[in-house]
Amino acid sequence: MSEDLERDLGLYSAVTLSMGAMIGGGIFVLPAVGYKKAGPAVIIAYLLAGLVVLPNALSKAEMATAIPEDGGTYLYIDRAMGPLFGTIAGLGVWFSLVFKSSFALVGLGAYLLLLVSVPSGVVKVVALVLGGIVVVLNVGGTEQSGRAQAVIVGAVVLVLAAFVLDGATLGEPGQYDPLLTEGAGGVATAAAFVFVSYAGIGEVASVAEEVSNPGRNLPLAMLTSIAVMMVIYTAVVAVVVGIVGPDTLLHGGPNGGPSLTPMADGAGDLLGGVGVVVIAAAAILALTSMANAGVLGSSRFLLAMGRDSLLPAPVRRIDRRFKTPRNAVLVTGVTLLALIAFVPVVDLAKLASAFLILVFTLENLAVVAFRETDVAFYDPIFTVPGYPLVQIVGVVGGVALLTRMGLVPALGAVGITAGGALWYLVYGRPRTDRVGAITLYFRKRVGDGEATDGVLALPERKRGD
Amino acid sequence: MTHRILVPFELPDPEPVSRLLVEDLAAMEVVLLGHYSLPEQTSPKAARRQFGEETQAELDALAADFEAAGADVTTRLVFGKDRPKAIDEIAVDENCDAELDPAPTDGIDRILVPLVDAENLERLEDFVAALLEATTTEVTLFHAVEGEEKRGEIEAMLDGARERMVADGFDPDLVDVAVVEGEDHDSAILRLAEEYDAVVMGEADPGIAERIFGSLPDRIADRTGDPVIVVRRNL
Repeated sequence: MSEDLERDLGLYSAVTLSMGAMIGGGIFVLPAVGYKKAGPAVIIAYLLAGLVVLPNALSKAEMATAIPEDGGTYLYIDRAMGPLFGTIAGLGVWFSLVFKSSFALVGLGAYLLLLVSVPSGVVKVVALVLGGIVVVLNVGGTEQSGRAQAVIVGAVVLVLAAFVLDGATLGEPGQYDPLLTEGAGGVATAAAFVFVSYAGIGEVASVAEEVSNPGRNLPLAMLTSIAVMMVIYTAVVAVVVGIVGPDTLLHGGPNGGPSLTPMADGAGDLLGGVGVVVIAAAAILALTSMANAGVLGSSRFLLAMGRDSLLPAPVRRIDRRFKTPRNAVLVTGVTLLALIAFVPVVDLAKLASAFLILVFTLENLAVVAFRETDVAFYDPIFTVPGYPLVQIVGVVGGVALLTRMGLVPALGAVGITAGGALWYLVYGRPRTDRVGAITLYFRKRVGDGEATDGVLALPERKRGD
Repeated sequence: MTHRILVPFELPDPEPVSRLLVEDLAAMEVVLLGHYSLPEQTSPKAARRQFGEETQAELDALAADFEAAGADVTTRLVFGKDRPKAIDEIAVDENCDAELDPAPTDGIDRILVPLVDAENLERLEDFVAALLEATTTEVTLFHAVEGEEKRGEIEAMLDGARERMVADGFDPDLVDVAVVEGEDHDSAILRLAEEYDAVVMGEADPGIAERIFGSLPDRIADRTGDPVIVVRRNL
């Protein structure tokens, strides 16, 4: 059967897709949370987080050109390090996207309330309703609209640019002094918390098969989008810190916590009511698209794991009527709503970041595993220059951030690792004899005749295509 | 030369092609493109894994009709999100010189042929001939006078084209010409097409209107329910 695919994403579309998946909660909701940890140096934290993401983006791009499949991150780690790590990574990345979506929805609720005055207690209810709508849309299926995505990204970037240009002259120099209120450690902690701002970087990799000239466009799009976002984030946060008083940032949120709408706090000072409305509208646009992308993207990981027998078969079924992975979307949706209802929003963001750092670290290691074991099926079009230094920097950076996050995220990371391992031992292991590149390599070295062929690691790729 | 024509279908559950049309096209090489439209939630590969075999079977059933009529048939199956784009890519890939927008038909009595210029005719002629049936009474070469164009020149162009067709063996009683003035090209074709049973036309550059409202051939097919053959440019 011939494999006809539409390769219709050029460099420009890939960059806007990637940026669209990133702009959202990270910048509209988190600056004040980071401020609490790092003081004005939260500005540096956004840069630092971006720098730690860079090696991962390169690693992802390389593996995506070798394994251009949906559910990328899970697949790379599974094929490199075996189904145990695959399960941990798959569940980890799935959870992190669900966390990301739920925290985007709570943030969305907070911005909505700026436009309609109702008691702040209903933020959660609003978030739940919006979450319900997103889930229904994704079950029913939506038409791909690269143009709409580009328009949204363009509009949001314009609003952010206006915010920066307008606010740059108004910043109080005094508010940046002292820059490092909590020391370098505080900056690292803040960087870890706002890490989720770059979560969307996996989006382009997951549609690698639709990108034209992937050997060039994939890594270029990922690096460009990160670089652009680093600049935007840094500039915006610098303005927020400059024009919003520390008191508002630290205690302007629900229950006297950090503000969840720091950009609108800033806009109010700039342009009065109009500024708040414009910023709130941009935030709503960006957060909706982020929440939607999270639900859409995370379902892919369930699908890929179901295909590999790590999850029950129904999650990989595509619904005949809607032509969507209905079951996977529903599992994602129910989890999403439960998280919104029961987990505090700041914890949602922290957990999303923690899981993401964990998975990104594994992903860097996966490249090392592929390269060193030299398995037959691993033949990337793009190879990371500077290997293995780039990967080592990524791993060290990831671990460093992870250890700075405090109790809840640390417990979460340990929990997902233990939970994933347990699930694999109880459910996955009896159902799969697939092994990763590392195991293959060692079997070969001890001369186990059974596994002399690297194809064994990719059994599902040979079926059905 | 043998023509190669692309016939796209929406899968699953394709509309069957009328037998008359199958027979008209039997002398050509036919490329049947099955396009399975997906929402953005679903990856093409995942959909192909689950639905690939049954959809290919549907496509093969369509192909069997064409083969029975004696056509040389190739099938292509695409799972994707952008149907027009898929049609375009496969047409290029398979070297097709025309596309058919299939439609149910119970006989083709009158064929409308919008001509942009005289060059146009050469590539359209064979396809007009293919659609000719025993019942066909009329082939109309048509042009809408727009902008700087002069009615006299257009009439001369169409008459010249008609004479060439007659010289090439078309029945002189069958071919006539029509010129419209004071109405733009697209709406004139759309209006006239209602009175005809099929349209054979050249591919135009997609302008703004095409991007917003869909291509002219699609609009003709939607509005009249007639088969439309679009002959591709630059081959």
